[in-house]
Amino acid sequence: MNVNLLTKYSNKWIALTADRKKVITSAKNIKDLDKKLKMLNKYPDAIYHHVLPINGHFVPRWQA
Amino acid sequence: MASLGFSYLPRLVIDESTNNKLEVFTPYVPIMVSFNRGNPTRLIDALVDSGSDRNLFPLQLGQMLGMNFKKIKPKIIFGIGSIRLKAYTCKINIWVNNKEYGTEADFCLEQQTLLLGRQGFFNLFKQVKFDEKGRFLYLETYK
Repeated sequence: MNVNLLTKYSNKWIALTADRKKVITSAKNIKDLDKKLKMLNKYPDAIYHHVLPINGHFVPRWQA
Repeated sequence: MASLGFSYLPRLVIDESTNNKLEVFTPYVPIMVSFNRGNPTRLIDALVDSGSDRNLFPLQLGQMLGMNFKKIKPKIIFGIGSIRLKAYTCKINIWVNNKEYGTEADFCLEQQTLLLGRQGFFNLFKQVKFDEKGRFLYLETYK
């Protein structure tokens, strides 16, 4: 996966092609992304990925 | 017994004070998720987080799978900064490398990236090994 591909999708959900080389579409949350991809009616092997914010390191915040 | 390997995925981090760009490699596993015998999702990259007690998934994923959160009593979860949030626990199935596992996850509105924690993910496997130098994650299955 090429990181430069992801810079404009900071904190968004993206659908990637199975080879992770191309972004098919993006959305603000996974539910909207799934709707968008279902409307395209192709890419059955797409991979959903949340792009973590790029302006800092990631530290998970929540625990039970 | 089998060992599954997953290459870490790169992501970009920009240090705002210096504007330096760093490539950071993070352990993800692509999983599918289903609820209540429904169809599984497409593959979703989930971050393997040894610091999380439990699996934590976005609420919107639960809605996508048909969960009715009005019927579930929320519980309070907390983390860094002691911020308290509501989360809803649901039994789910996840697929790792096309093998199905029954487990559960907490669903939270404020969470975006799927976090795979020790209870509900790590305990499904005999061993979870992080190879930081090789940027590889290994899951050793029981069968």
